[in-house]
Amino acid sequence: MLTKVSPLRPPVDDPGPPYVSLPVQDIGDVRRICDFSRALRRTRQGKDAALNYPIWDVPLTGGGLLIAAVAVVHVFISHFAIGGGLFLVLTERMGLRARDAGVLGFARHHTNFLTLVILVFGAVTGVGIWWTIALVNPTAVSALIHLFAWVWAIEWVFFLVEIVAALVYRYGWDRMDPRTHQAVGWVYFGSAWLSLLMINGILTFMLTSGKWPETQSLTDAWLNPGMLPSLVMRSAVCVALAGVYALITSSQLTDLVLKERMVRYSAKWVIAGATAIPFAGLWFAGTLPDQARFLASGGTPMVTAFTVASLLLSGLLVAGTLFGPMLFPRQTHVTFACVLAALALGATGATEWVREAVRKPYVIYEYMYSNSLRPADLADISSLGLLASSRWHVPAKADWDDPIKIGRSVFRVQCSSCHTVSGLNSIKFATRGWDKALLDQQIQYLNTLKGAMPPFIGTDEERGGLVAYLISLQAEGAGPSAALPARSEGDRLCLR
Amino acid sequence: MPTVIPPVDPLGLPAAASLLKALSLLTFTLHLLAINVTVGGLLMLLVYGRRPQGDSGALFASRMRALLPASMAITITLGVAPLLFLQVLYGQAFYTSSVLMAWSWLLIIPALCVAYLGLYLAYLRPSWLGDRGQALAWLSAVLTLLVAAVFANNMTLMLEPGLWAPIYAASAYGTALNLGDPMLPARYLHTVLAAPAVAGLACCLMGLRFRSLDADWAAWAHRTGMHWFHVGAGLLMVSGVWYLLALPPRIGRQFMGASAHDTGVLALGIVLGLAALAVAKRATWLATVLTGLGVGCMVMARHRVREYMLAPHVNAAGIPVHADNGWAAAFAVTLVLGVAAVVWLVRCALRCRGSREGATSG
Repeated sequence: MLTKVSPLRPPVDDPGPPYVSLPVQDIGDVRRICDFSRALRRTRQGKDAALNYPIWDVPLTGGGLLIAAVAVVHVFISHFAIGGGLFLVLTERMGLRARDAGVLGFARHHTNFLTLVILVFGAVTGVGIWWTIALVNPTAVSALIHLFAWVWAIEWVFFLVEIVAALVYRYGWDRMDPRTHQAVGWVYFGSAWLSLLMINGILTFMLTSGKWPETQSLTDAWLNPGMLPSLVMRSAVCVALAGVYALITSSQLTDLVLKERMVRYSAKWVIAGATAIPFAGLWFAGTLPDQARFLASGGTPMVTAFTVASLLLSGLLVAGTLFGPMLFPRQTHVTFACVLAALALGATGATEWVREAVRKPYVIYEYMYSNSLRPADLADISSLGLLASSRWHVPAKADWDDPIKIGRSVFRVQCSSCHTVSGLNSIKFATRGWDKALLDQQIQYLNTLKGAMPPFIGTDEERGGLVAYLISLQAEGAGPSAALPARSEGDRLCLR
Repeated sequence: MPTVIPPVDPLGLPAAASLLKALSLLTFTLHLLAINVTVGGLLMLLVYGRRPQGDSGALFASRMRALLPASMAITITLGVAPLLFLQVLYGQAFYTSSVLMAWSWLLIIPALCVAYLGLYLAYLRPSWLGDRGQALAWLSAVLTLLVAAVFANNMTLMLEPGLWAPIYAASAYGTALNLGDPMLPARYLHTVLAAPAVAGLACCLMGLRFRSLDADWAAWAHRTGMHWFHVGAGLLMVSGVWYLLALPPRIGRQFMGASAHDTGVLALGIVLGLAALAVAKRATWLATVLTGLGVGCMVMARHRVREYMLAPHVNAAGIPVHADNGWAAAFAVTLVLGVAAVVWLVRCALRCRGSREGATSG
C-alpha cells in the first residue's frame, strides 16, 4: 500500500520541469521512500550538480585512455605550432639578413610542413580533446566551460587569427614583400602564444585552483599559482619541439653545407628549450599541492614511474641531439630525426600523464573528484544515498533487493571513470583474492588507504552492494585472479 | 520511462543569456557559411575535377583544390565558438545527447582529419596523385557529408529529452543515433542543399576576382556559379518546405502565423533569399550580403525550434547569471582587435601579386 502514499510523483498541479521523475513505484521500505523523497525534492530544486549525466561505458580501455591518446597527440602538435611559428620567422629573418636563398628555401619548405601538421592534425585534435573529455567527464567540462567561458572565447579569437595568419604566411612566400611577410609571421606566432597563454591558465587551474574556492573570481581562477611557471615551462617545450620538428625537415636537405648549418641550428633549438624546461619544471612543482608532489615523487609507484620515464626520455632526447645532429649534422638521417621526435612524443606523453595523475583524486582540485562527484555534495549524497541522488542510475524496483545489481550501479557511477571491470586498470585485477571483509574495509577508508582515490560516497547499503558486486566478479572466474586464495589478515595489515 | 534532465551547472552563466545567444547565432551563421563554401566547393570539385586540361572546369577545379584546405581550416575554426556557446547555454541537453551517441560523435574527429588530409594532398601533390586525386576528393566529400549527418543526429537528439532515458537504459555504450526522428532527413537535406547554392556564389566571386586576369574564365566561373546558385536555392526552398512540415505541428504552427515574431523571421529569410536570386546576376556582392543575412534569419529560426523543443525542460534564460563584466569587456576588445587582424591579413593576401626573388638576388 505504500505506493499509494508515495510522495515520489510530482503533484498534479506541479508546474513541471525542471525535475526528474524517479522510476520507483513500489518500495517495501519506508526509509528508502524517505530518501527518494528527499532526493526528489532536492533535484526539483535544482540544487545538486552531481551525477548529472549518463556515463559512457567504454569496455576494456575506459574513457581515460581515449583522452590520453587524443591529448598527447594534440599537445605534441600544438606546442610545435607555437614554437614552429617563432622558428620560422627567426629563420626567415636570418635568411633575409644573410641574403641566403638556401635558408629561405628551407624556411619555405618547413612552412608547408608546419601548416599541414598544425592545420590538419593540430586544429582537429584540439577540438577532439574537448570532444573526448566532454564524453568521458561532461560534468567537469561543464564546470570549466561555465567558469572560463570568456577565457575560452578570447582564446578562440587568438586561435582564429593564428589559423588565418598561418594560411596567409604560407600563401605569402614568394608573393609578399619580405617585410609584410615577416609581420604576418609575427602575427602568427604572437596569436599562437597568446592562445597558449589563455588555455594554460585553465589547465593549471585544474591542479592549483588558488584563491578561487574562496573568492569565486574568474581572475583568481585564471591567475592561479601554477599559471606563470607552467607558461614558462610550456614556452620552453614549444622551443624544444620547434627544433625537434625542424630536424625532420632539415635532415632531408641535399645541399650538405646548408644541411650542416640548418641541422645544427635546429639542434640548438632543442637544446635551448630542453635546458630551460627543468628549471621551469621545478618552479612549477613548487606550486603544486603537497598531495600532488607526494604522488609524483614516490607516493604512487605508477605515477613515480611515469615521472622517471619523463625525465629519462627528456634526457635521452637531449643526449641524442647533442651526440647526433649537433656533432654530426651532415650524417644526421631523417630516421634518426624521427627517433628523436618519438622520444619527444614519449616525454610529452609521460609528462602529461603525470600532470593528469597527480591531480587525483580530483579532476578539478578541491572542487570535483575524478568521478565527477563534488566534495561539497559529499554529506548530502552520503545521507540520501548515491543512487537515490542519481538521475540516470536509479535501479528499477525489482533490483532493489539485489545487492549485486545495486553494486553494479554504484560501480558505474562512482568507479568507472578510472576503472574498467576487466580491462585497463581492471577492478577485478585490483581486488583479486580480496575477501568480503577486506573489500569492505578498503572501500570504507578508500581515500585514507589510497590517497589518489576519492572517498567512497554512499550509504552502508550501497557499500555492501559494491562489495557484493566485486565479490561476484571474482566468482565469475573470467581470469586468473579467480584462482587466487582470499588474502589473509596479515595481507590486510600490509595493505594499510 | 520518465524524462531525466540534468540540472543546470551551479557555476551559472557568465553573462546574460540574451548576449550569449546573440554571440552563438552570429558565430554559427559565419560557421554555416564557411561550411557551405567547403562542402559545396567539394561537390563542385567532384563535378569539374575530371575535365580535360585547358577546359575552364579543369582550371576551376585546380583553383578550388587550392581554396578548399583553407576553407576547411576556417570552417573548423569558426565552429569552435558556436560550440562553446552551445555548451554554455544548452550543455544539459548537448552533453547528454553526445554521450548517448558517443562513438559516432567521437568518430567525427578522425573522419575530419582524413577528409582534411585528403584535401591537402589533392592540392599539394596533384601530379603525384594523378587520378587518385579525384578519388581522394570523393573520400573527403563522403566523409564530410557523414560528419554533417552525425552532427544532424546529435543536434536533433539533444532536442528530444524524452528519448534520452530509454536510450540510456537500452545501452550505455554510446552507440545510439537519432535515425527514427522524422525531422532528421528533412533537416539534414536542408542543411546540405545550402552548400551548392552558397558555393555557387563563391564561384561567382572567384570569377570577379579573376576578371582582369582571365576574362574568359571569369565569365565561365560567373555563369557556372550562377547556375549552381539558382539550382541550389531552388532545391533549398523545396527542402525547406519539407523541413517546415516535418517539424512537430505545435512548433511548425509558430512559423506559419501563430507567432508573429517567428513567422516574420522565416519570411524575412525567404524574402532575402529571393532578393539574392533576383539581383545575383547584376550585383553578385549584394547577393552575397543578402544571402548571408538570409542564412542568419534561418539560423535564428533554427534556434527558435531548439528553444521550443527544449522549453518544457531546459531554459537558458532561467539559468542564474554570474556576470563578469571585466572579462566580457576583455573579450569584446580582443574580438575587435582579432577581426582587425584578420581583415589586415586577408588584405595582405589579396594584395600580394609580386615575387620576392628580388629580395634574395643581390
